[in-house]
Amino acid sequence: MTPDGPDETTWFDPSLLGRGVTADGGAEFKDAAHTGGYAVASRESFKGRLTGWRLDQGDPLWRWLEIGDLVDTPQDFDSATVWCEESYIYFLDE
Amino acid sequence: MSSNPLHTRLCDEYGCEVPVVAFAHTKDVIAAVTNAGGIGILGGAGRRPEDLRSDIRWIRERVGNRPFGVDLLVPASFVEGNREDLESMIPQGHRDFVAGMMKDNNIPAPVGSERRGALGPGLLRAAREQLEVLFEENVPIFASGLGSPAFVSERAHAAGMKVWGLVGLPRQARRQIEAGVDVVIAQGSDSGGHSGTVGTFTLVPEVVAMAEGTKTLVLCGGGVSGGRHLAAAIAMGAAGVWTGTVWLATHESETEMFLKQRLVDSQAEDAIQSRAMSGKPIRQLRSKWSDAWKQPGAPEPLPMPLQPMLVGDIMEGIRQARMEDWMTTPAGQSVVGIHAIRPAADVVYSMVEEAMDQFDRMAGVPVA
Repeated sequence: MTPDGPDETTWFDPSLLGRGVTADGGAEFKDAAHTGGYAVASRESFKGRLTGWRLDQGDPLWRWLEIGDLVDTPQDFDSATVWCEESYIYFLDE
Repeated sequence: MSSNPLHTRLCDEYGCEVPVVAFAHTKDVIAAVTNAGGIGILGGAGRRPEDLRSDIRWIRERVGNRPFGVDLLVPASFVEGNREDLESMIPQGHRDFVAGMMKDNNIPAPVGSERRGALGPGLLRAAREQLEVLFEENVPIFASGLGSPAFVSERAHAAGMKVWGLVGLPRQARRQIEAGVDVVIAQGSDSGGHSGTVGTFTLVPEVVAMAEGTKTLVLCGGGVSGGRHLAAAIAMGAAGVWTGTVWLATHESETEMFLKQRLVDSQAEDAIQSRAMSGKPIRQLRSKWSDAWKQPGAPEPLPMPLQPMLVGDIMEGIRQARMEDWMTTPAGQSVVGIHAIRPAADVVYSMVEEAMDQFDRMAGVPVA
């Protein structure tokens, strides 16, 4: 989990703990020499199990779930967990 | 119902004259395309809120009530960690490779380079700041180029704003349609930048079928640069096309002139995917930079965000020294359809004319 920021609340939801999911993630990337100084998107997919930790950010609420036990990640991804936005998380048991 | 095949629901609902949507980072392109009857969508990601606000006002002064929008790359995932922790994860062999590249090719160290950009939850706060500008400026269309825009849909609709979302996979389209997004842009893998792995001709019909019976319109993106593509998109059931690469080589674009000429000279196979910029595959014009990371003995690019941290200084040095052979731009395979540097309005008009020729041909009307 991550420390709370000014507009963020992290909380544990036991109903999510251990549920298998896949997720579509990604963020922006920017460098001056190769994108004209503008940002472009990176897209990436993950597969693992939810840790049960949620992060709610801002108003309207932006809901994020933490995924651990990662078995499928982008090439060379080396973080043990990843936060993904709820809209693009797909439960394997549904 | 209109007998003009190019008068689609997009035209009815947004007031545009032709179903051509232009994504570009240059505000002048946005104004030109919107005033030519299409819809311009400004790429606003990475801009400071005050710069974004200034550009929106500039565009509005020139297009009046015509439709335009702003695309932001709201994140879909993030990892924890601060910059110092991440710096320590970069292998020395990679640092040596980059140092050797600078020495061997006389690439200067950058002067006054600035490291910025949010990490971790800071990405969310940065995206919020940009979104607030769109709300405050009453931008007609918010397009989300990466993460789902569902979390702000209700607020945007209450403010009279339309919400669009760009997807690279059918499952993403389903989630956005369920969330009531107004337009889903189905973008195939031949597009510039990084948009996924599914081809345009596979993705678009599937997303169109999902959207049938809903209020959501579908735009066709990826590989679109001309009227034949526009006609094909309409034939597949899309309400229009989402275009990007073709605007880079217009008079109004801020793209460097040497890159515009390179776009004109390029073939489809010159728009390669490389991980050497960001650690993620980004479709771009081939350059000495992408070639260097393919040489025998070159290390594999590091994952994001380590690769951009590793190469940030050398890339800035390349830019400051204007080493043209080493510089590039994201570009899709549709680059093969760019044959000249032209005014943006001419691109719109010729795209429409060529599409109408194709519809005439399908209807058996002789085409001159």
